[in-house]
Amino acid sequence: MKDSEILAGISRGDERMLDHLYKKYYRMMTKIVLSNNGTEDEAKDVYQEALLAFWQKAASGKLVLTSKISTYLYSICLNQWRKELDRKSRLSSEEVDGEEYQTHDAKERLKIVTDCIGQLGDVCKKVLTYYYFDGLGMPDIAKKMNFANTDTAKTKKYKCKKKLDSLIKSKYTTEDFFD
Amino acid sequence: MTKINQEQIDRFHSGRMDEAEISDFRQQLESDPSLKAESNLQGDIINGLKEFRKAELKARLDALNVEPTWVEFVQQSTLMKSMGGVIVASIIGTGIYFLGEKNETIDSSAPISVEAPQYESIEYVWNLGLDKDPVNQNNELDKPVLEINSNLVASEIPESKPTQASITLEESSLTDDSQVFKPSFEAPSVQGVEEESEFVSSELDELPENKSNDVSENPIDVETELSKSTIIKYKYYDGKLFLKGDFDKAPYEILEINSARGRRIYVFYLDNYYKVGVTDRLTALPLVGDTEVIKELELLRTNK
Repeated sequence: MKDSEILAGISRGDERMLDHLYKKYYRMMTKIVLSNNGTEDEAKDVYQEALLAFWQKAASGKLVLTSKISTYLYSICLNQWRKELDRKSRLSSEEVDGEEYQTHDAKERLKIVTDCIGQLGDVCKKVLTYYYFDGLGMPDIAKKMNFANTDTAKTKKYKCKKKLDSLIKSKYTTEDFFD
Repeated sequence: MTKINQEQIDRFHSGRMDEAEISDFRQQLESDPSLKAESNLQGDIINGLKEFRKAELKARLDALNVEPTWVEFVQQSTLMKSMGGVIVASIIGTGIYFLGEKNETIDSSAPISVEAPQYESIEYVWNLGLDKDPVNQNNELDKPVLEINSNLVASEIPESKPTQASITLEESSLTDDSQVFKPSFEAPSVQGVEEESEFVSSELDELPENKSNDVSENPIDVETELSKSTIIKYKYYDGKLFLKGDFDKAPYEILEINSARGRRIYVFYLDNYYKVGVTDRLTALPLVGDTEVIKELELLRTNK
């Protein structure tokens, strides 16, 4: 399959393109980490993060690709692993105590939000995640979700978002989100 | 908080604002604490949605089998690629060998120089030139003229075997069909030919003037021993003639006749001719009794 065909599929939100890319370049990309003191799990995590970053950019139409997909993915993996190595080296020093506390607080808030998202229905989850993560426009979401039209997608997205907001606000006071 | 503000917050956190809008919205956030609080809340919610989707996609990827299939293994394996390269190179090499052999042509416009193998035979005829001067003919024997059978074709001659004979094919000696070699001839080593029977015999053999290098330029080595007997005894082997007799009483003369048949040696002593044969035992010289031979020997001895 050609790169142009893959990019066209991703822009439509076709997740089979993600599967294809993941399997095709798995050995090539994980080798970057494995050959630089990384474990199999670390290698897989770096590759998945890189591939999803590529997916986000390509699906939202923000990607201007001037090289092959494999080259682009390779550079992301390489940068991701360098960052991870830097993070590991910083963790070995004592200056990260404050940062760890902030990360822990953010994780707590994230857990609250994630729990509330879990209470949504599948349609709401998909509409919201397609919009905010994949960056798909309302026409694409309407097509992907088999909605009647774009307005239906817009209405659905508005209602789902309002429901999520209310869930979160009902469970937790606003102060929980401020330091 | 107005609906417009909510849309702005949503567009800000979903990355759908341009640079100017982002700059303007950040100024509003600094001036409106309630807007900032709501923006932070929405930021966490949108971040949570992104992480949820990411976890969902990661779970999808984790479920995929990334172990290469047999076909993918073959395609990705370095060993297989190397083996494939060797196989392809072998096929190409074989193809070039056979196709190149079939398409081989020889330019007939120029003489073809062929290196003949040492131990392969060639069909040839020795032209000794009976009408030529025998003296000059001796030199030509060192460089025999070889005539190649016109049925022979160039492709039949191996290209890189050692050689001792160089053969030149003239264009006129080749027929139209003979421009392609056909390896069917046998070539005995020219230098290895020693027996006369392998050559075409001619009347030259009978001529005493025929002085080839190997018979005429090596005069016999004569050694004498005096005795009181008038009976001459001799030994003759390895080109050395040993004579024993009473040579103080009368001198001896040696007649050496070289011909194609070989070297003949006679001794003239006290008006008699004796024939020298090869022997390593001291023997009395046999007297020549044939009057015809005696006449010829007499003629040679007096006209020397």
